[in-house]
Amino acid sequence: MSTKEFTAAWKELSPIQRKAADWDEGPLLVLAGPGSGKTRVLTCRIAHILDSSQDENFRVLALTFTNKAADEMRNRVTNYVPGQEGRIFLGTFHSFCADVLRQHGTHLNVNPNFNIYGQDEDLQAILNDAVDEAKNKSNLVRDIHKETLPVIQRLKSRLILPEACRDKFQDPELGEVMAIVYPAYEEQLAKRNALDFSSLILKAYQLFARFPAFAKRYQTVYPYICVDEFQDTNQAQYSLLRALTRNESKNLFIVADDDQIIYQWNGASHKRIDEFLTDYSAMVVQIPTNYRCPPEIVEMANNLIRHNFLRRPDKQPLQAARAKSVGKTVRLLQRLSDLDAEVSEVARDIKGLHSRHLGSVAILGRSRRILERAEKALCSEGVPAVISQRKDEFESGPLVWLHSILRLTNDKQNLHYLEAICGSFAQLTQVEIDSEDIVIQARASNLGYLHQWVKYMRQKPLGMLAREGVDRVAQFLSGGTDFRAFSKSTLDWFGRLIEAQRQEEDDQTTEVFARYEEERSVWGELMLDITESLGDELTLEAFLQELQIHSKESPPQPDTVILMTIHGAKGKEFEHVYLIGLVEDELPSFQSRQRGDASLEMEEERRNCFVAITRTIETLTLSYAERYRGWLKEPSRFLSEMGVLGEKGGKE
Amino acid sequence: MKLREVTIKNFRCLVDTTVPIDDSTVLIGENNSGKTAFLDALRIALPRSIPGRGGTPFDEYDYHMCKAGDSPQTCEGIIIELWFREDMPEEWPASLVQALNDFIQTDPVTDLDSIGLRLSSKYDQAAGEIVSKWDFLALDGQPLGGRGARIGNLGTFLPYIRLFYLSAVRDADNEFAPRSQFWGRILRELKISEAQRKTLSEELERLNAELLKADPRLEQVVASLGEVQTVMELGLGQNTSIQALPIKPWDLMSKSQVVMKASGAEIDFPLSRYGDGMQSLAVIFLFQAYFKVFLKPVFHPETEAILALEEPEAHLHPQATRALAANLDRIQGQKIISSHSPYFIQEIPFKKIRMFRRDGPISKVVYIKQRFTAMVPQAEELVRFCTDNSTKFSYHSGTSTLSANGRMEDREYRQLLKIYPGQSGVHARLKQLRDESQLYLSNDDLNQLDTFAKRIRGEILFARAWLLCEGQCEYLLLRYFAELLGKPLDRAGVAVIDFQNNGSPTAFVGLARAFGIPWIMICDNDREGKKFIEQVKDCGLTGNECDELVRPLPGSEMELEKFLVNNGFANDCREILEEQGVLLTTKEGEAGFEGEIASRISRGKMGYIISLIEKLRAMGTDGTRVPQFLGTAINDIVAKAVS
Repeated sequence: MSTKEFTAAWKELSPIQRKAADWDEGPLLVLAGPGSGKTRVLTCRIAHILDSSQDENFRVLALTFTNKAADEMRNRVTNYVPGQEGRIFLGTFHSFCADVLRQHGTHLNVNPNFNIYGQDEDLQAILNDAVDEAKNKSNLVRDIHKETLPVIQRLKSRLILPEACRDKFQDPELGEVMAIVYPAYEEQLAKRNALDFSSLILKAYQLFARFPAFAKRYQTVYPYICVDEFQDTNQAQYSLLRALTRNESKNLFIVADDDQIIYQWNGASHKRIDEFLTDYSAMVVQIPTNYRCPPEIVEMANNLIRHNFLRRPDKQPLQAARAKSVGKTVRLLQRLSDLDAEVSEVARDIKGLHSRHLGSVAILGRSRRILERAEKALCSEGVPAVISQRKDEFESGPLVWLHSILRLTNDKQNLHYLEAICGSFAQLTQVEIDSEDIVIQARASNLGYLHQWVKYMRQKPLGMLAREGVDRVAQFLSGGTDFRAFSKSTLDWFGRLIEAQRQEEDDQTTEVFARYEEERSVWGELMLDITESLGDELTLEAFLQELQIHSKESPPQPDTVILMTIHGAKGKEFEHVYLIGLVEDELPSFQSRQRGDASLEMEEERRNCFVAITRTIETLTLSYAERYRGWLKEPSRFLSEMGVLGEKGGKE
Repeated sequence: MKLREVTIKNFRCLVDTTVPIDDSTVLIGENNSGKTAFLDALRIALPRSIPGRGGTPFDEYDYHMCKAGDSPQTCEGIIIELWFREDMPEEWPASLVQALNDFIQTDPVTDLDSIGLRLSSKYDQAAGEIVSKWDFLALDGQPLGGRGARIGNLGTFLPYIRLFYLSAVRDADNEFAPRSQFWGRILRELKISEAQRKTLSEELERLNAELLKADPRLEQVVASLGEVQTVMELGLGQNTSIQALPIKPWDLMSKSQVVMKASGAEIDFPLSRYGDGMQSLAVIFLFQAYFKVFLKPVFHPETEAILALEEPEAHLHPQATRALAANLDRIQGQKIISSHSPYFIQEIPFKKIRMFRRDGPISKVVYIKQRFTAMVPQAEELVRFCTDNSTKFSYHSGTSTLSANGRMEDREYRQLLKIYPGQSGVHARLKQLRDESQLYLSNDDLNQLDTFAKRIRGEILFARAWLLCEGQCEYLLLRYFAELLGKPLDRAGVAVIDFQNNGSPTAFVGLARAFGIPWIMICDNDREGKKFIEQVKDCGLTGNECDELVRPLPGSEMELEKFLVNNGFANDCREILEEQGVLLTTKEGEAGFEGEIASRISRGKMGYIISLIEKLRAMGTDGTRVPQFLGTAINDIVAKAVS
């Protein structure tokens, strides 16, 4: 029996959307333009499959590009077909691979308890150790090879294993070196029971490719697979998909738009969609209707993307579903002398037009650098603004402490986490201790660092509040490590620390809790999302792994202008979009111009512009200046391609 | 989904026991040897409903304690580990794999799925109490992480595998009670449509009213009882009445009972009025009925049942016991049965038998192995060796296990040793594998033994020791001599087995060794006897073992007849021959006299030996006449049986 929410959503689908959502058997590619309601199609399809098979046990696998998208889709599906949550895996490629490795990684000597190292500095430290060790073994390896992290990452993203990397280089000497450094790096990771992001994909791929029995298992369990934003999958992810489906699948459902490929630099390719169609003999359904943007913008987008050649020849142009609006939808701000003047003008414009609904405004830029300038300009105009970006780690003392306690519970002898605990505990309670003391004692007692920390702290004279913190950890360790209860109790403790500190009005502690409130709500959100994604009975290791995969960025604040790179804006939409820096060497980027007007890179830049403008729901404001970093820049070619400027740069 | 292996540690007398499980598995062994403990362990590890958090399903005497000061707090914890495994790839239906995906393990090489479930119970220092928990396991025996570690998994799993336990005491009154495990369930599951229920209720009320009207005195009783109301003020509108029969269909159903017409009788007798044997059988078939009709609809289409059945032979006469054993395959589900009945065992192939033996405070379980394993590290040459000898050897890299399904020859053993030069640990494990593999019994051997077992009623498996001899004459003589020595073999639990008519001596020696039954073999010292000895030596006995256990009659070319004549029975034999009118050509004292008697006897050996025993018995012969060689053998085997 369908819920009324689902019945309503199903009714709202257009005939072509419904055709896709209702697709029965056979691999399908849904070519869906921006704003065409592809998320709705996907969620309806998943809900439809689950709804019509309530008594069955099979599951649906849906892979998304971001965790946020996964969380949103899961909420919708759960709303449509309540009680079937256990039958979907909705997550990113990385989350899925982590889940696979938790279950079957032992067959590749991956301990299910693995740590995920996501930050470049952690990986760099590992590479440093690896190179130092490798130097002892071979005099080919030198300190300069500590800079080969990108090389290793690229090898991994091409699924090249350490033992096979030697002859993959044009420079044979580099091949020799990497044949030593890459395995050493992997060894160091293994020693720390850690995986980096690219090994998540690589190892899962290896598992399915080497042991088809597991691919078969997953095919049995997940007879339906959906992939969102397929255009941005890289070689590794696609190979994983191939291995997982053992090159055939009756029910592979792919949603993609070849005009929105913006991760070419990460291995995405316009060829992948063709590859998919050939590999799986898939059918195609196109959804060109755009429900999001005003017709003017749809026309601009069509004008623009027509200049790309590396796209499907039969691709239908976008069709605007909305009626032409009354007001001015698209504006090009007056060209000012330089970037600072440009962003100041943008800031003033926003203040003038949107100060009552700042939360509906987004500034998009090709690079982070120009966004920073814009943020400054907004700041000096007194407009609250924040740059949206992935945040890998918590920053406030309390959350660092809580997170590190959990990590050290799971990874009992990790010095890094112990140091973080000692450091943040000192911030919270002014009790300073040397982590080295604990390490030495732990070596003698054979206890884990955290147990030893508790033991050590208990022998010290402590204030009441500090003692309480220690006691809570002790209770957590002895009570079956229920991390959710511990998290709750620790947040209570933080509350009392804040209370105590307010009475003392100590400036230092105020600073400790500076970003606490914000991060605490992120912590709560993440715990909720991860629990919903992996189920109630989440284990600590799975929680920590997912936490590592998720960004710790705060959700957008109300009445704050958000600044985003175009890549960050993928899949999102905003009432009012400002696209800044529309000059040659910015958008399109300097590198793409170097490659030439007909290069792959130039086409990618055009798609960047295409993605940026099609985020708009109501108004689009474009801006450009004469000089950037002192250099005179031509207006972006895309302005004229979109039909905003005349061929010679004159305003139309 | 079949249960394929059970490991139990520190549970009562089962200290460390691994038992493979067949579709039907029969547990035998003396009282108190751990059979019930084994079935109880299964019952505890596969509870009918999800156990609550905290608490323990064990009582304090379940923890194996051997030292005086031991308590559940100090002893090693209990472990009950169950492995459910596919026998062939894709055996488990997709819907089952989908449902149990989070804890099904796939062997990457063989592609076989399995589920490992471990119940462990141990005193937890930190928590200060006994902690019992169920874990699903990875192939290496480690508890699963991630989704496989969820507590809810047990609740998902249990409805797919239902264990039903029928104890030795099967009282039809209990098992057919409204709250019993099968009958009660059947009654509760019966669905009567609302409309039917209404019609039935009306009909019942009508019948009730009619019954009440049948005798006017009843109405008076009702009226008089109704006066209670006026005193007690029970409230308005309440009527007193009598229900001559249950008015609600459920009440009626709960009174249902099984009735049977005895053959030739006119009247249906309730089952409870039949004898114990009939009741016992009926309960077993009740399980069958429940399994067929209700198990899957109530749980899942993939749900399977394990029937743990104690002593199915209880109260049954031998033919019925044999018939039950022979029809075991017709009872659906997996069966694990404990039995004390030779009649039952004789229909069960040896491969399905698990023998429990008590050794001090510890029980061990022995059974016929056709596959022997050792953990050895992977090596290229090993893989090549296994490919070259693939009919006998295989290597599983996931678990680093080398398996042999046959006897490891010396040549093969040496080849394997060479793969691991200087690795004494590996060498020791290979040696153990070689030694164990000598116990291998081929399917041919086993078939022969099974045929034999059917003939001699399976009783040899209940014996404590075996005395193997060539033929029936030896059989009769040995038993008689033992009597003379005051050591009747039956009482000592020694079975005398005349192997010549029942297969080869190697089969019995192999069986004895596989089940760990002490044995001694006596044979002639002639050409045939020597052949037997050679065969037995090939079973992998060491020289010392062979010298001690295999005993040819002393003297070259010695046969039983000659042995008897040489050991003081020449005159008795002569008298018997004379009584039977056999004329001898030689006289006592003359050369060739003994030879002639022996050869005469051998022409009608069986009859003469029976006459000899009768004659000696009539004479009141005592133990002093038992030849020393046989006396020693009898004393030795009795000593082995008793120890």
